[in-house]
Amino acid sequence: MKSDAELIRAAVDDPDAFRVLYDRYAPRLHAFFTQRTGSLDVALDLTAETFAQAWVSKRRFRDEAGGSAGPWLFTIARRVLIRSVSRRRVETTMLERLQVDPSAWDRAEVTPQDRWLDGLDADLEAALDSLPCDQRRAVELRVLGELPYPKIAGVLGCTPVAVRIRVSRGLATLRARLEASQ
Amino acid sequence: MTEMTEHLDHVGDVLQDAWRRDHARSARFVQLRRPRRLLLVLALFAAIVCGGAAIAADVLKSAEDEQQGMIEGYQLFDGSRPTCESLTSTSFRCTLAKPPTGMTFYDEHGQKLLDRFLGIKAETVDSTQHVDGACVSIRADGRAWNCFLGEEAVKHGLISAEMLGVYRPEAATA
Repeated sequence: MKSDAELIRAAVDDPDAFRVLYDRYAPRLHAFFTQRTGSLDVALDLTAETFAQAWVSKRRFRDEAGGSAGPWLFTIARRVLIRSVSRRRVETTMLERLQVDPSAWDRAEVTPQDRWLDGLDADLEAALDSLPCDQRRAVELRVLGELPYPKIAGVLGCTPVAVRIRVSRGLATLRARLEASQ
Repeated sequence: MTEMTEHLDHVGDVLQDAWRRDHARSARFVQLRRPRRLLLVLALFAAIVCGGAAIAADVLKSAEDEQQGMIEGYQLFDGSRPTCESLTSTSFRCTLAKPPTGMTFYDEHGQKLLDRFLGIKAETVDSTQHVDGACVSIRADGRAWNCFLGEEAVKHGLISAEMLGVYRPEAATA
């Protein structure tokens, strides 16, 4: 069975490989959005937009979690949710860019609510807090600060290889904890 | 199979069709771009052989690349169709066909405010999604921006020196 990372790489030349990734993660993302929004239909729309965004940015995927695309997809999902709430409109930017027919399925007509984000950061902060200090700092600088590895190495006083290992292990731990809570 | 699983499968089918269409479009786009890549290689060769001067990456950024760099750097410019013209080797004037849609301001009654963009700053990225400069809105409606590359953006106070070169794999949100 191909890993998520292999599927994403294959999808650059073979769009059908991305469908395998969709089948693997759509139920989990849909469950995440359903828990957040309380609506199966809204969750369906948000899941579709998440995969539309993932498709468009697939060349930017970096395998930093042992071949899993879970952290990457859930990061996109969180952004889709946050952006929908901040704009007071269920996000459809990439579905529109991909020219997906809006009538292909029944779209939910709701105004996103602030409560959809309740506890969203708390989950992440709790998971981050649970990491060993060196991993937490590396993940924060890499994922939240978006710094390149050499710069992080300079900040933490270690080699770029050591930073990669810390980030990889930290993300793997975060993935396991966040997916367990979702 | 539950009803929701069927819905997810249906959405998957719709997305798969969209991905196939997008892939076909991209393949055509790559073929169209090849002559331009050859021109760039020739231009680089000429500059190295004839000029002998150090080539700064920012000097090679075209107005078209800057337009793309705005869109990929900041979601603010989603759908706004910027058009840039080069002012100097490190600056551009960019105008948007449509007002920015990626950032919306509201008054206390929840009504949209359309005139709050003056002085708003946004980073731009290069073709490898690394921050390479920044733009500042020079009109309240957000339709005109001055953009600067590299150290020029730092000198104009639009971006910190540390931000230059930072990997930005996804467009920043407001």
